[in-house]
Amino acid sequence: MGFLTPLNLLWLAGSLTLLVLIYLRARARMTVEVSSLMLFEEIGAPVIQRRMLHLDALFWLEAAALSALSLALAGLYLRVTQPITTYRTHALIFDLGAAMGARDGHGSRLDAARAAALEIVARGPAGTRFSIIGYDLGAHGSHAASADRGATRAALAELAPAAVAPRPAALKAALIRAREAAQIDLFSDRPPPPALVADVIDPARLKVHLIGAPAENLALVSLDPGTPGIRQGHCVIRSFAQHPMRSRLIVESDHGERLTLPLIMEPEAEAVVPFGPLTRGGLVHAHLETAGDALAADDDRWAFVAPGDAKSRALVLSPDPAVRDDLSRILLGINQSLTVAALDPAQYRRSPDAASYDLIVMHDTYVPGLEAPAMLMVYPPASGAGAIRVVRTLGAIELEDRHGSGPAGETLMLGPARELALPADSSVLAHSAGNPAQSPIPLVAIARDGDRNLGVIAFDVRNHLLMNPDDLGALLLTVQLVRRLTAPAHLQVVNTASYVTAQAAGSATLIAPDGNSRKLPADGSGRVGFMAMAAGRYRLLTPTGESSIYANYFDEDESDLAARPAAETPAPLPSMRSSAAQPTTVGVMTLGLWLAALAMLAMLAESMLLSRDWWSRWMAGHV
Amino acid sequence: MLEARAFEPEFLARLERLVLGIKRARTARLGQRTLGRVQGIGIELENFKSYSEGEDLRFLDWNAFARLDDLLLRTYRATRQVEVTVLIDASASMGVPRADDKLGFALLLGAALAYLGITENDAVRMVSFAMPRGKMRLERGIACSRREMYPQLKPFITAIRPEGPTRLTAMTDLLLSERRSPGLVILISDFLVAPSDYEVALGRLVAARHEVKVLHVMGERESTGDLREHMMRIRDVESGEIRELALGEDAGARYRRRVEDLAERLRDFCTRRAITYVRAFGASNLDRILTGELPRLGLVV
Repeated sequence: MGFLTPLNLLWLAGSLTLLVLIYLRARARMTVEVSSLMLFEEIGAPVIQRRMLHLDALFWLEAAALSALSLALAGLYLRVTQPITTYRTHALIFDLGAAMGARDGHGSRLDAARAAALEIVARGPAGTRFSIIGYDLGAHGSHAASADRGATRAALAELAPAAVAPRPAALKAALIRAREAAQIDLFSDRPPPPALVADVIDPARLKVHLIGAPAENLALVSLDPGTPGIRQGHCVIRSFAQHPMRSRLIVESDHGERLTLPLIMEPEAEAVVPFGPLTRGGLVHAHLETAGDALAADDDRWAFVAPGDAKSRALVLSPDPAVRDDLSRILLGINQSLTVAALDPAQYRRSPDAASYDLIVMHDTYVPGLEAPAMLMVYPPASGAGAIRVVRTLGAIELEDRHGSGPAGETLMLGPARELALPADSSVLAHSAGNPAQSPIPLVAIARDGDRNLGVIAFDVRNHLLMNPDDLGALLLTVQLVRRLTAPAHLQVVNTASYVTAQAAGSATLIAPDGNSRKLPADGSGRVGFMAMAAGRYRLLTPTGESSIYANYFDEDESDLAARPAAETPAPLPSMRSSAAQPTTVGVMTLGLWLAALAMLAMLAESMLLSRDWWSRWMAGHV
Repeated sequence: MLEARAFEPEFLARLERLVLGIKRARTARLGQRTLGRVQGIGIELENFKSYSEGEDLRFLDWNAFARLDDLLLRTYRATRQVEVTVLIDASASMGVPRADDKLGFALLLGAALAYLGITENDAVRMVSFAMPRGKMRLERGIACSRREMYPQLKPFITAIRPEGPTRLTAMTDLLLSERRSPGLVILISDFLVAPSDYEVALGRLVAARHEVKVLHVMGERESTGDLREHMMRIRDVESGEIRELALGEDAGARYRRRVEDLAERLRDFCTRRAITYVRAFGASNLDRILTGELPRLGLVV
């Protein structure tokens, strides 16, 4: 309760004072002089000598009328909680993670969510504006708030699951986008974290629709193609089923080699399935064929292995023998058929066959004149390394993990690093974390330098940084970078949720695994890029030719389709408890009209009393 | 003001047909007498008659005996010595209700009765009494015994204003202290006093051998109870006492019954004490009172 114009309360005081004065005046006029009180003895009321204020119904009615009018002038209002009924905004938020693509026999979970949303749209009051927001790695509105039901249904039909695990930050961003909506409906196969919801919106406004029933799933966790002709490859398969499942693992290479391995997976078990060794290298594709498998995105994996008959050579130069040893191990780990030569730069003497290296890795050193199809510069020296210029050396730096090497938002403290001036067409795979107001420093990048691939790691890897189990992110980045450096130019194997770049002379056409194609504009250096959100093969058509990008997907949480949402939610969300409650808003209800009506009612009652008195006197013949 | 009508010729002409009725007129020198033109001591010669033995030799006309050698006695028109006192209540209650002009009505009646007395050559005095500031005061007009003197009463009558409380006993005490001869006393008042007050006052006048006549005057609205408000506050004009009233539907009837009770009690008292009581309620009833009530009750003949 409050007053819009409290100063007008002075009207109340003034009006009531005036009323009392008028009343006293009126009472004074009613005093009648008579010749003697003895004529009135038998009809008189109790005698009083003085009475200033005689309170009667008329006085109170007038006081009520004046008070009501004064309060109306003062703008008396009430804070009321009122339901939002018409012309409200209704936000529909969809989880577009990989698990929403799981099928339980009647379509995918996203199909079920879409059907529920269509029913909400159909039942929505006329004028309700629906907005559609999806989230996976980030939040993106696929349909702005609109009362056009046709456009809303079309936007719902366009929703598709991505082969990524949705990030909590993305859900938070989606809720922030929908914060202005009167009601928010969230369609997901698992309940959102209550703390996250409560941190963004009023949980009472959120209605969570838990989609999907528990389903069984086998996932291909990893694929190691082995070394052609030397070492067996193996696949790691994990069961997210409550029952034993029969399956077949099919391993194919692009040279026509095909291996089929029948499997019986124990419930909730993990199995390492060896195969091979493959006779030849190249692109290797592993595929799980399982009856009753609900999620297809984690049933395929691709890997590239260098052809075993190609005797690849690598050179590692570093003043630190420990670094030389670590880098050599990593290179051999990536390609066991690789011949690695590790030398101190001071002892390196150029030989006639220097140009025959396929990969040259230089740590904290730069030897001009060395050429190879792939060059990796680790912690380039302060004097610079060819096309790479060193701006400054930093004592320590944090690595922000953004590309799948660890949980989102985590940082990794590294040792010394150098801020580099990279070529314009560089693709940054990782950069430093820290103050958002400052530009991040590229820490891992890949660029095209003429006809060769040039990779850069800006941080120092001394003290066995790459072998430290606590710094696994640095190792993964290094492996990823080396694989990209040594992979054929027309072939990339990445994980979903990775940003893929490729050289293209002009624009390129990207054909997604589901067959949809779109144009990709090239940047200033002739590179195109996209985010791999679906598992499978992307085809990139450029004027110079075609290249393929294979995206692998696995996420432990998303692949676990057996989780029962209700059981996983020990404490029901407030929104779930009040899911049927009408959304409300706190509004202001002015009472001016009611007060004016009250004043008129009081005046009417006063007039009726006066009329009744007049009539009774007239009937008695006194008027 | 009603009292101004007392000097209008038309009003006086209507009074010519009336004679003030006096049942017992006494004088200190002549004792009991009859009304009308009678022989007696006077200055106006009435007739001559033959002397009879035993008659008063003072009235023997010696001149006629010398010329006619016959004893003749002179007879004279008798001179009445009845003193008429008209007492007018000039207390504050006579001025209320103002619309009734109760005091003017009382003065008009008193002037009319005075005129009747003057017409019969009676010595008439008009006296108003009031008690301003707690002290009884009698205001006297000139004593009139001839008709031509009647207009001289006008300044006195028109100057009377109502004020102070009514105290009839105090008035009679002050009046009787003047030791005047017994005569006719006409008391005109609203008698809005305690019964004991007027009973004592009238008793003392009768005891002083006055012939007392009472005119009970009330205003027309005052007597009929014209009560306009259901919620009203009344103030006694004489005492200043205030009373809150919540009048019901039968308030008017109860008021009129109260007025009737007061008048009946006064009339009963007057009847018991051989006092002529005339009710004069409402100035609109003046003609009926003069030509009907006063003759019917013997105040005029």
